[in-house]
Amino acid sequence: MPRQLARYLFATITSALLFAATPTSALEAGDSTPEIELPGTGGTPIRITRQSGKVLYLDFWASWCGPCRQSFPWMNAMQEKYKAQGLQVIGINVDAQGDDAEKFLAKMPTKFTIAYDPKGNSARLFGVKGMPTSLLIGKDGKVISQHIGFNDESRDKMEQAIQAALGAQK
Amino acid sequence: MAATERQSRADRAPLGTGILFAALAIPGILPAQADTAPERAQISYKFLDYQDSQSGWERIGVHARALSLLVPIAGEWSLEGSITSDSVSGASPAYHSQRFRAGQMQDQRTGRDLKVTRYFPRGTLSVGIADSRESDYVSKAFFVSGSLSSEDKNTTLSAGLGKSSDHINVPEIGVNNEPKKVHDMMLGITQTLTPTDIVQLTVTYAEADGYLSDPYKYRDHRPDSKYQTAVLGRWNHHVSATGGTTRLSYRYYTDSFDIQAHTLTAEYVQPLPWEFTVTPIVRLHSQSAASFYLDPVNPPFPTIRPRSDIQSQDQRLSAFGGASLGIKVSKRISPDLVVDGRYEYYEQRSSWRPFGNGSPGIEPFRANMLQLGITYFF
Amino acid sequence: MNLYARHTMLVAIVPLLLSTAACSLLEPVQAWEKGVLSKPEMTFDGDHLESKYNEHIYFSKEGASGGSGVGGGGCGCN
Repeated sequence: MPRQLARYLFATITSALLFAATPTSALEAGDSTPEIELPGTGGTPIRITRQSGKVLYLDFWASWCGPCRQSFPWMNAMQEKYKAQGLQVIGINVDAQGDDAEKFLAKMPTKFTIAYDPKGNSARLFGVKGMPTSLLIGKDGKVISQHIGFNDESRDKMEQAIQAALGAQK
Repeated sequence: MAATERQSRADRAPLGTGILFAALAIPGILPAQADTAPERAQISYKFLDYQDSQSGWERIGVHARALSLLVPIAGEWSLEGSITSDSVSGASPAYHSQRFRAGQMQDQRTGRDLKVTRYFPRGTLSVGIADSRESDYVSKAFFVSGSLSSEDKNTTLSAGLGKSSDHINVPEIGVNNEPKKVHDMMLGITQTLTPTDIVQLTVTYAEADGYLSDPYKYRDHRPDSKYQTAVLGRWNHHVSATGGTTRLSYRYYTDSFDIQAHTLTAEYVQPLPWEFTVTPIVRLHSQSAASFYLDPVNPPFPTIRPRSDIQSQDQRLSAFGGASLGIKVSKRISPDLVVDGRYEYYEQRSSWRPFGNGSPGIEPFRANMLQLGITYFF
Repeated sequence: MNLYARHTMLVAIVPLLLSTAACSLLEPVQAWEKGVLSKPEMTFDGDHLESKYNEHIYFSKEGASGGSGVGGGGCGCN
């Protein structure tokens, strides 16, 4: 009797779960990037536009996110390697508390632009569903790909995608 | 073990070693699973010093040492294992609050467990084994559990199935390698409510068959099967004003021995300067008596019933209330090293049962517990 | 209510209510809002060895057990 009950329960809860998932609207490949302006280090505004002519790698990160920590050295390497070819890496911090981000950056040398969005407005605009979320935006201002999480496997694939984007005509 | 080291069966102690099963086995190995592989490996050592007593009589003392290791593998797997060694000595009641005669026992128990977990983008799958050995009791257990999260990771469903196969061997009183089998299952749901609140509801069900009595207690004859259900609700709430976190849990337990129990635990985790964290703890417990539990009718003598009757005079099956007060302090010594200590005081009294009457004729019982631990991350 | 009915009620109704309530009433927590939820004290994992010691002690001294997991094996302690 109790085993039947467990099966019944499992079925009910699973269906409830399926109904529960209500994702924020995600950006699809081919969508134009939203245009926003966020404060950067020292207050200088950082603008994300469709006409920058650069390949943009946007990364939404926070001090409390483990994989974010691991992704910084790689993002530093990408920025250095492809800067001359027109890549701009922008790390958008979503820590609700500014000091947390500062403490993190004090220990992690960063070679790319940092922008701050403590209220998460840009995260909502870009349809961020997990941390970290990175978006690759082409020279034409259109989203090429969006990726959640960071691990060794994703590194190489992402670098190839960046190279392809840099090589493409506008 | 030499005959001289083992006292009469009635002087054997309940906690830890050389003792037999009364109620159903086993706390689950691990509660709800984290959903991503740990970032770093960790090794922990923890020591427990436990002493209980009742008026005029120091009962059971336990010194336990445990070592555990957790390693992430390739970002998608983790391996977790531990070894525990308990050294138990003393004596506890043979019936109600009485013991047959003066005499001490001493025994060792070694327990080991190992768990492998695979992490998927939206779920986990774990498989684990455990065993426990002492001079008269061997247990082997196995479990499988898994979790599945919604796309936004705010809702996680978890489920598990476990099985253990135990043998009790006390030949001098005619208990010859008696088997006991337990099947258990768990279903749980974890839900984030707000950025500062998360709740969890878990239901567990277990069935045991075989030798469930405690041969070290006077005429302890329990049914040869038992089923139990426990419903556990938990709520963690972060208090922004103080930076602390309240952790509350309530468990309702009911079984076929007719025991119903309520257990409420409240903790408040407060981070302090210099990497200290202090956590006061309160635990309240209340239970009804088993249907076959016999009250004393002629104290200080045991209540007499024919041997063949289902019966027990083990105070742990009586009706009582229990309260614990504790405090845990931890300090992060370096980014890789944390030390922690926990002290808890527990008292059990039949008069403290909040719902209904406590069982008569049972002495209040007290316990002091100290845990000291160190964890290294690498 | 007999024992089976009571068990059925507990096992079936409570989780059902909770999952329905959770799904419908509250604004879901967004990914970037999970800073506090990621703190160890906000999870339900806890210190493995400490939980094992605590559960073992109370299981050996009281008539109730379990609630949080499966497996684990037994001991001659209760």
